[in-house]
Amino acid sequence: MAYHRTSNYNSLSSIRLFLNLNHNSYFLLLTSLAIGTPALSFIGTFGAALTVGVKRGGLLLSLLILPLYIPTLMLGAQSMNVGTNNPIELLALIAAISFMCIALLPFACAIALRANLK
Amino acid sequence: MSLWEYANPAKFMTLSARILPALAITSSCLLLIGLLWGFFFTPADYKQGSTVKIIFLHVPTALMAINAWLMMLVASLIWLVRRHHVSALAAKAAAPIGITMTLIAIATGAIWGKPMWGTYWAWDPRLTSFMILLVFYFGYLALWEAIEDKDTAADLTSILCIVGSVFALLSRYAVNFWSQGLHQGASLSLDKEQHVDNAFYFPLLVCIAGMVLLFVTLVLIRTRTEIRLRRLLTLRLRNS
Repeated sequence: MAYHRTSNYNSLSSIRLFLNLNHNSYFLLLTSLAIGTPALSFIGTFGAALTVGVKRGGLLLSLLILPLYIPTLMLGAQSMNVGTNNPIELLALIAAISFMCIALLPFACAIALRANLK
Repeated sequence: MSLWEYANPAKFMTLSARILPALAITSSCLLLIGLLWGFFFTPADYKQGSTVKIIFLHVPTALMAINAWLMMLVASLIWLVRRHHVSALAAKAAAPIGITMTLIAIATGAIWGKPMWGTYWAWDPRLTSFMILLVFYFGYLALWEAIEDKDTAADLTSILCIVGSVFALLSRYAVNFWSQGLHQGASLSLDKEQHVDNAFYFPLLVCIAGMVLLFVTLVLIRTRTEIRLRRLLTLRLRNS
């Protein structure tokens, strides 16, 4: 029965299968993605607010937000590296970045949009 | 009589014209003395040989690469709070100098890294932080150029500079989780007893002082250029 359940689980989660992740790292991957995604999307919002008045802003947008993504991505990648780091610590730091982005970046977006509307 | 008087472009122009020659001469003298002293009158390191002498370019430029961003942050805050145009233009003027300093620091590090580490580039925390800094500078300048209206551009780049500073600080500590890295510790710092040996320490201090003054000189020159450009733009708009 137990074998059955895991094999089902494997076929459902193609990422886990392709990356050959064990149960623990798969769980970590999902958790770090869930915790880190708000930070990434709020940073993207900020970039969009900055480039909203630019005609072809797509390339500029990616140049602007690429360095802003680095801390989240770096901590997220490191949280999978269970051998050298304590994953809970890193997940907490990612959550801190996410909360910071959710709390503060809307204000930065508002200032940017207001400057664009002037 | 307050400091804010110099936020007036006319006052800034007269003052900067008066102090620029002195600044330029002092900075070039200090750099000349520091570099000559460093390159020709210091002993070779027992382990690194003569490659240690790249420290006299690498450390001051790396220092100024970060401090240029700090100066841009202060200037951006002044622009957002007090709306002085000279401040926004000074921030814009500092960015290309910051790029140059970052590139010199990375290049000298690479030249030193090949004989010492066996590689030009490694994904080391400090090196990666500098690459991120370089991307920050390029994004900042690209945003300045992309927006037509000058005041809007100044507003948006100021916000980017402030938000970017927060994330730059975050990256600087986030990369520490990744590995200890190849890069050695700080050559000198304000809060530590241990510096590099005195034979290297004093010429290094002269070089750093020269580089700081060179940065100030270049920022003043570039800010003057920006102010004149802005005046030309207004004149052209008025005449057309």
